[in-house]
Amino acid sequence: MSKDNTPVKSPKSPKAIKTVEDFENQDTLLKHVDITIVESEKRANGTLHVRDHYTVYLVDLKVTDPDYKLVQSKISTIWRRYTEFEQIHDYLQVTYPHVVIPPLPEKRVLYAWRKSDTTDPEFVERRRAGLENFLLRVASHPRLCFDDQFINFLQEEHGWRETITDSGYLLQAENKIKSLSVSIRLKKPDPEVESFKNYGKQLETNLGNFLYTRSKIIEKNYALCKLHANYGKLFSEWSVIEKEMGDGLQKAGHYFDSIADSIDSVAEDEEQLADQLKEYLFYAGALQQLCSNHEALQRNLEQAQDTLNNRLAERTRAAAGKSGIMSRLFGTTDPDIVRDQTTRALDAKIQADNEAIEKAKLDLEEFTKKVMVEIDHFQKQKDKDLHESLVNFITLQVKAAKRNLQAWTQIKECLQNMP
Amino acid sequence: MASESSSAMLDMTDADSDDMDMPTLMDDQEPSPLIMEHGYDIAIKVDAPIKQLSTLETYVTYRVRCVCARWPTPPSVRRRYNHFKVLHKRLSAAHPLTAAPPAPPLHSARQQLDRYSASFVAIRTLALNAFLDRIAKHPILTHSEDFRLFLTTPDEEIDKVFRSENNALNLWGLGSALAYGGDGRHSNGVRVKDPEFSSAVDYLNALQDKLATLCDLTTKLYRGTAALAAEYSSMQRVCDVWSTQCGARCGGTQRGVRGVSAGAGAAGQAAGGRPSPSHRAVLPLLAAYAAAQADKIRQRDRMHAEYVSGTDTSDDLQNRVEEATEALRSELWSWTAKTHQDIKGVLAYIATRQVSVLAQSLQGWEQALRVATDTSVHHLFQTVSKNGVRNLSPTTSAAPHASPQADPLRPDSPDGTDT
Repeated sequence: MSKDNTPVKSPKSPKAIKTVEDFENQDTLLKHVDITIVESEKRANGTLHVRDHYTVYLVDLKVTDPDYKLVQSKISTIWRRYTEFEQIHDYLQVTYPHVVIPPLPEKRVLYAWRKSDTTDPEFVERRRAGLENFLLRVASHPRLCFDDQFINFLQEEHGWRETITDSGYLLQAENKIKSLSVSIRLKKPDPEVESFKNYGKQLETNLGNFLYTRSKIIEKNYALCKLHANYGKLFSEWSVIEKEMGDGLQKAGHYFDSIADSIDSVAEDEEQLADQLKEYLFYAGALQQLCSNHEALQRNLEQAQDTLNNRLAERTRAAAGKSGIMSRLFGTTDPDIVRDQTTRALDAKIQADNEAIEKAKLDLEEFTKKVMVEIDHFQKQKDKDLHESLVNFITLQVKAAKRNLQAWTQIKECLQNMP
Repeated sequence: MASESSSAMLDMTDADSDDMDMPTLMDDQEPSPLIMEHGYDIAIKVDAPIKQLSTLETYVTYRVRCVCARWPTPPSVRRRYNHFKVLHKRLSAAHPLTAAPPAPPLHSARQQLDRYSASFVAIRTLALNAFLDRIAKHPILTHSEDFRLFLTTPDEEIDKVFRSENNALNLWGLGSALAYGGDGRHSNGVRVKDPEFSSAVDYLNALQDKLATLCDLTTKLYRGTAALAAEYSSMQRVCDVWSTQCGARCGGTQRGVRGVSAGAGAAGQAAGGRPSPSHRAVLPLLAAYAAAQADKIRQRDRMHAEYVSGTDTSDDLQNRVEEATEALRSELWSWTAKTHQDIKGVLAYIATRQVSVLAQSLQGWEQALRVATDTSVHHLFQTVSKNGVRNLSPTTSAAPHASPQADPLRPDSPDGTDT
């Protein structure tokens, strides 16, 4: 993979992060570059089938720090499609199991309240914003942002798919899925990790319910506001046949039309807020994934310990001369030579077992340390983000209510002023 | 008969019964004082429907109260639907040149299944009220002897005077209507179209259409608002559950969620109020009344055509045509003015209700914003003086329940203080 103009590797290693404050003071990619997804485009695979149409997004990278050497060129733009984003996301998931990986925007339309699919221009625009947000989240995470594959994702048009497949992440991902499908029953689960896992589950449920009820509300509100257009039509037609009431009816009709029109922008704005909440819905899943990774490491440790205990038992039996199957069947004991040989062989294995346990313990400890910092930072970020989203949601409701109240107050006035 | 055709408008579905405000069937409220409107010497009110059982059948009676300067009236009498129907027949018969307000329609076959449903009875009460009100305000009909008898005959004797079926008087009334209809058929071909009256007929027909649409839209508006109220309650429940699950590190999220809960709760309450179904009583009645006027015009046109066609050149016919024309002219002028007033009344009620619902909603969301953005939780739980509470809410009228409504029941306030 070496080329003449290979970018200089990042000197900083993320292992120096011990506390949340360290975390926040780390260098990130985002401090040196600007990333935006400028636009989207429809492409086709040559055939005219609708199925073979897909959308690509233009990733624009601009280096804001003049001295920054990590990226190849000052500006680069690359077209990427959603499946390539999925690839880099899955790669990050297996490569950094101790990190809460930022989630991608939804693959299929969730919590839809009107007919729409992934080819809808509105959906495409929301996805563009979601993918941009994904890149910004990754680029601002000190442990993730300097990853080679990620940087290549941002810059290297050709051959990226090959390089990422070569990294073998797919195999790791499949193995991981296999190992996770076996339900993990730990003998001594870590209570803190357990509580975080439950917290993640609860957050997922609560956000899911919130998104569901919100979609029901906007659906009914939308229908109700569009009903006002019928009032508008009725009143304007009616005003034509009336003499004294005509003026009042026509004016009122205009206000009805304004109510029907105003709901469209409210629905759009609310959809963006729903997307923000969906991000955290998926983040909650990522958090649970993190806890599962921890459980996997802990299971390794417990398995290593079990192996040692079994081996010790075996050695005791060997020392007593009862190692073979013959002794179990017929109660005979082994001759001394055999006894010594097996015992020594087992001793060697026991030592290896002890080393394995030590390694597993160290792995777990390190992992736990990193994870705690990670979760700490995640919780702070999540609290801030969700608070902001919810406040914006309420603000939007206030705005919409004000507008409707104003319109109906005017309608009332027009009607009262009719002779 | 015009009233039969308007029964379609009152067609009810099962979903109706919960939307609207209904006095109970056994309601016998304290009578509100009857006040005569400016320019009238009579005031009438129909209310307090009661289900009554007699030996042969069960039926609903309505209390009719009247104060009149012209004759002494008992404080209240009870009448059943058939009495109203007979009154209408008699008025039509006694005043052949004037269209009497049509009585509210009979049940459709569907409604027979639920003749005593609260909402149906409520609508009929309002419709009967509007019916008597138009008669009372009519310059000719108000002096009718039948009308006086209807209002003043004691309950025990009303059946003798107002026998519903097979009444000789009724047959006579029917007979005279047939006579007019018969004459009309003789004059084929000759159609004289007075511009004055033909434009009136056009207007009356168009008006019926508008009134029907208005009634339909308003029913949908009320139904949609009630459905929205249910969804807001769902969201409030979801947010309440979420807020109790927010842990120590989720203060921001919890504030946001509590805010949304408060806002959704207020919006749900505002939208859940039950409106009076007056539009379903008044608008169909006015439409039927317009149809009756149009019929009278056609009746007069037939007479005129007959006169012009020369089959009957007696002076009597000419006089009758003149009479009818004069009656119609003065009638239409005052009818249009009163009908417009009635329409204005219905529209004013709808607009006033919408304004109050939206104002309550807005207040709720503004309070929600305060809950969500308030950094010091202390002042939410203080006991405040009534004036202090007034200062917290934007409008002074809703004072006592406007401010910490969402919070007194919360068990897990972060600092443990309670109201």
